Amino acid sequence: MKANAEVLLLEDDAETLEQLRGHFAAKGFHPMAFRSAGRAIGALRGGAPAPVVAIVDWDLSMAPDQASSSSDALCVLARDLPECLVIVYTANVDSFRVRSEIQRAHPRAWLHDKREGDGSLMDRLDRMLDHPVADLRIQDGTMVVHIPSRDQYHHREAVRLVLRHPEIVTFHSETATRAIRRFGDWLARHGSPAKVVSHGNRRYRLAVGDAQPGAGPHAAPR
Amino acid sequence: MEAGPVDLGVLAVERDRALVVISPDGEPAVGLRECLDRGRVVIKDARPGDARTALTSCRPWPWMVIGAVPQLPDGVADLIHGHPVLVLWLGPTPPCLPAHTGSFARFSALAAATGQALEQEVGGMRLAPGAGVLLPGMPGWSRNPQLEALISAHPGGFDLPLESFRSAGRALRAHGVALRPRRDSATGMVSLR
Repeated sequence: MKANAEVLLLEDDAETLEQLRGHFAAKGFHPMAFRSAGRAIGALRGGAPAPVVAIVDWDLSMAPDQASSSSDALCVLARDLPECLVIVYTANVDSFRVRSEIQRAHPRAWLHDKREGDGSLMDRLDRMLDHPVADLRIQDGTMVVHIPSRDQYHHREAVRLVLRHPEIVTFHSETATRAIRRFGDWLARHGSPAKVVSHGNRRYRLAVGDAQPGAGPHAAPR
Repeated sequence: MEAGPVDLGVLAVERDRALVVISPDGEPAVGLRECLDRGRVVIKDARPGDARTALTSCRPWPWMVIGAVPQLPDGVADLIHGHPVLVLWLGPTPPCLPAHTGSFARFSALAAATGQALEQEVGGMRLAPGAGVLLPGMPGWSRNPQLEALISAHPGGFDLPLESFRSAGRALRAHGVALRPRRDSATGMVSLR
């Protein structure tokens, strides 16, 4: 499959939203941009492709509708799309109350300080997207490249697994898990030190240095 | 499509290693999030009112429960007494906590103990990222929450019947590790020895 991985952008300020959209489009991703939480939730529940990354502005006071909050959107992401990497940016990052609200809405969400400016968020995103894992890197939002051979593996789920390294990622379809198993075979054929490790229940992680090819759970003695 | 009602993400089912922090205001959970490796543990920031749901959302059970409340919320005692769950408490400890509960007066000491439990290494075994145990000289990992608990608590143990650790004993035997869950006759605690 050769399709650009989706990125969900939830930002009430039209100008900032456009900047983020342009930034991700230039990186080869497919931005799904929303100014209100209700619209974003509607799209996620309406069968939109699962984004690999979601950028959520905590304060949506300028959103065209206030029926749902950023907290609601985070809850939906946590419950329905736990495989999506979520970054919340807020100017109130120093507030325990705000941090706790974000953490309760989405326990895995990353935080970014909005006071550092939009450029800082984009720098962070670039570091995240351009950061190599062993001999692999993400390119154009669509593929994982094996750097020594320059061979490419085209699938958004492989992009997701590299992006989330070293975390465990839960995949929600048989299509996605098949793609990940094929990605594991592809890594083995290329002699990559990165291995796909299965944790059962469609949960996988990319391991570097702590697992052998094909390694999975040892037979659990009963 | 209408957005519709949503439930808190913190109460969603979690199959990775999970730490449930029960407090009235979330402050200890926020502090722990700053100092722990989040690739190794998911922190669930629970209030007393949703503590039971937060605990039951962890499958098969939470790796650790931290409390910062003077009274144990309803329905929590049976959950933490029935499984090898590490229990740490900040401030006054309520009655009914297991004997293996660690009690702390200062947050910094509690955070250090939590970090130590995550990084603990026993007989070459250590916690794998996310969930499971990495075994010495073996490829892959073992999915065994009892063994995870024993490694994290080492050299301490659990005030639970030895039978609660049968699966951990079998995993250790199967992988040629000499350590076993054993009951200390003096303390009554089951630990890796």
